[in-house]
Amino acid sequence: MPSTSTVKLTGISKSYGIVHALRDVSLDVSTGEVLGLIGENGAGKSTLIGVLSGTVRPDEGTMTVDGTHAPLGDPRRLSAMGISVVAQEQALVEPLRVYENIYLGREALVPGRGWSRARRLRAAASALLHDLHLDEIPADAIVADLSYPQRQLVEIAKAFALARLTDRPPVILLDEPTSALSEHEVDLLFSLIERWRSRVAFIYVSHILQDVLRLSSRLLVLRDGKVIDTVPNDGITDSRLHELMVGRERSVDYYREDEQRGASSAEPIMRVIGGTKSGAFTDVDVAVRPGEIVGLAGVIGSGKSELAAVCAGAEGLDSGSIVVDGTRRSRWTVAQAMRNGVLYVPPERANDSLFTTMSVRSNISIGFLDLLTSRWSRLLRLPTERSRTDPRTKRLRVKTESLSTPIGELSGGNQQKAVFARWLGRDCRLLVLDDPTRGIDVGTREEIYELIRDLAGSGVGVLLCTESLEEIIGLADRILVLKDGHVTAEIPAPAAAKPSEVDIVRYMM
Amino acid sequence: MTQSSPRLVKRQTGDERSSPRSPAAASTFLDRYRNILIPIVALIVLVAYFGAQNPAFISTGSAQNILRQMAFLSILALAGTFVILIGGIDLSVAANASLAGILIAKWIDSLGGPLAIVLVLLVGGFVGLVNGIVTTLLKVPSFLVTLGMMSILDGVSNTISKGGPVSFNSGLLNTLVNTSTIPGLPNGALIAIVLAVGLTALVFATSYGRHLYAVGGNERAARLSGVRVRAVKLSVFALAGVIAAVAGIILTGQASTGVPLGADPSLLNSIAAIVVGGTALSGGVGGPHRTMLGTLVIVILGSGMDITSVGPYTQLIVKGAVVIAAVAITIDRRRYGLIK
Repeated sequence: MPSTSTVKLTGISKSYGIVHALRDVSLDVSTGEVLGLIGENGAGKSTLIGVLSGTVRPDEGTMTVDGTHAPLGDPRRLSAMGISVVAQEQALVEPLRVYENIYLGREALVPGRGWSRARRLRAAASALLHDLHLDEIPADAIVADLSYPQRQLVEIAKAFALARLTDRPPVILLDEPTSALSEHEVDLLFSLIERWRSRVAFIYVSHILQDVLRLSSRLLVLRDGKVIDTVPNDGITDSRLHELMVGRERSVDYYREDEQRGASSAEPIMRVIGGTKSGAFTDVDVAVRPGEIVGLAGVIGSGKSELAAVCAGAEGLDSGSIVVDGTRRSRWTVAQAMRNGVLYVPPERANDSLFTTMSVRSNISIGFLDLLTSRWSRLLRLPTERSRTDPRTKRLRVKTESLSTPIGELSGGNQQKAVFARWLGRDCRLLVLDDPTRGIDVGTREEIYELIRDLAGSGVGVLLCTESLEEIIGLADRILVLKDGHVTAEIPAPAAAKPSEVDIVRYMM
Repeated sequence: MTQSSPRLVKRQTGDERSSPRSPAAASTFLDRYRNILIPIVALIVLVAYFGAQNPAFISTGSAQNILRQMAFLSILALAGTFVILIGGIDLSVAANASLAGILIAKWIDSLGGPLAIVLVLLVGGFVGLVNGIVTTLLKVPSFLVTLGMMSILDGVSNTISKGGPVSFNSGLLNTLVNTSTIPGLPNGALIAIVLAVGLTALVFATSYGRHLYAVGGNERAARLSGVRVRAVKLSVFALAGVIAAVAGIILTGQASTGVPLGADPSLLNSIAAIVVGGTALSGGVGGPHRTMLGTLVIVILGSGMDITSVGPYTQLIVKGAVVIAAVAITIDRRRYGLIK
């Protein structure tokens, strides 16, 4: 068994029609290394990962594993050569058990028949999970019963399982593995990588630069399908990387704290009083005032996401009350919230927000169709629909061929901007945001922060719930910390005196 | 914005994570318009082929025949279109039309035309509403609910008609369906066209119509965008029931007698018309205008086979194959990783 393994790509090019997704890209990574792969959305990261894992067949170029020619575009054989992927979208079979998923398609590598093999697979999976310090995940749990982050950990365990089954050191591609993990789970993942890095070659793709900087030994920067630079990770700064990625420097005032004004009046737009939702949170009080940005911090499962959903009318309370403009609401649905100017940007864009087959324009106007309906004929005023959607998409710089393009063809960042445009079409008084920048590149992120700031400046209240502490600290006027469904702290965060991440994490764990 | 526009195209298509890839501009065009091009091409090919086989196919007599068949089938297919648009399916539309056909024959003499028609439409709508209530509130798949409802309705129809034809004396239905207000166009076909135009307007130019597509495209996102999903679904099933009853009245008017289970054999044809027209079974794509086009293809295929003396057994085989082929071509595979 060789102790090291080197994957080498040479001169890889791939185009889709007239679009060059990758241009003459070369890279190599060896056992003991973590290669960080960074670039904006659309820079070619995913295509490159696709080439390495075999789901994308490049037009030109070669790939070798330890000098052996590798079959490009053949995921099965590449996987047999020790290459595995932990992708952003999960590739688990939900009705099957954890151990069945871990060894899916590789059962033959474990001896035995029928029940006896099942027993061995389960034992092997248990041992593996124990080794990986993932004891909290039972080997015979059904995957559908696990939470999203737990499933992500199962995916990671699956990649490590290959390391034990094949006779060569593995290459593990991690494609945005932390996008849905809480702080604690991210730490768990990072300690796994640290512990295994001498025996594995990692390629790590992430939008979160701090994570890439923390783990990688080398960084490869992609822009417009080309390798801009490969730099060793010693003393390189965030802002230098940002510059390499977008070709310009990140603005100093990322979160526009100088525009932070705080609440513009004392009368809250919305209050939740003694709110309880079983399995999510207990006896919680929240108030959001006009012009105020209230941050909700907490690990996944702390109840913060459910609390945001309740405020937006997407979920109901078991007990407690919702008070809007001083009036108690016994029924509070999304439709009612919408008419009262309480608007919701839910966390999972593809599942919660988008109608992928519908045009960009229809995806935007669905938020304010009631305002486009003629009182007299009950018909939609289609010219008004155009005049209300077109300038907004221009203002938000939604990049699309035309507004009749199906929204599914846009990149994630542009889709999210369209979701914001949907709500800008109507009178907005309170914006409830759950993870508004998930999987979005730095440039678009900055635009979204600017938008949130502008809205707050004009007197809109914002309830912001996100995994990124940096984001919450940067944007919020006041931070509520949740732990196991209880509010453990309320921390003021005025522009002049921002709390540190440590101040907040203390109350989260 | 303007300087970055050459880059912009590359940006979008380069982002594989969120966008299904489009290999080339030309195939993007085909992809986008595939569902509308296929029925049009099929139509031209069929007319050319049958016309060459038998010149009598292209004649006014033949056109009259096609219009008469279209009147009933297109309305039945319109009923089904709405349920398919929201991502469900209504297999009871044909049985519902059969029941309406029997009820109108039973009631028209005793209750008088207008009252009988209104009552029959209400019964149709009620049946649809029951489908909707069981599907949305009890969360039983619409496929199963409406399959069961089909059997229930067939039983009710046969009980009422005692299994035999129901005759009536009123001449109202004949005037309403078979005579021509516009010369050359039977009133039945006129009703179908007016209904199709109205429903197309409903779908494209009202917020209710947009909500239909939203519910069919992504139910969860629809709810989170403030669409009252349950109300939309209930109303769609009820609407399908009312339209199915219209189809039943037309059928009885054409036959001049209430035929037991008269509409039932047309279920497959109506679904064929919907999918050939390009309304996707996955929901959220297509519409009533597409169904009119699909109905034209199916009716022309049928009458073309009649005129070129293709046997009825062979016709069954051809129509079954057309339904499967139409779904195979129009299904949006981007939304289904796996087909079960």
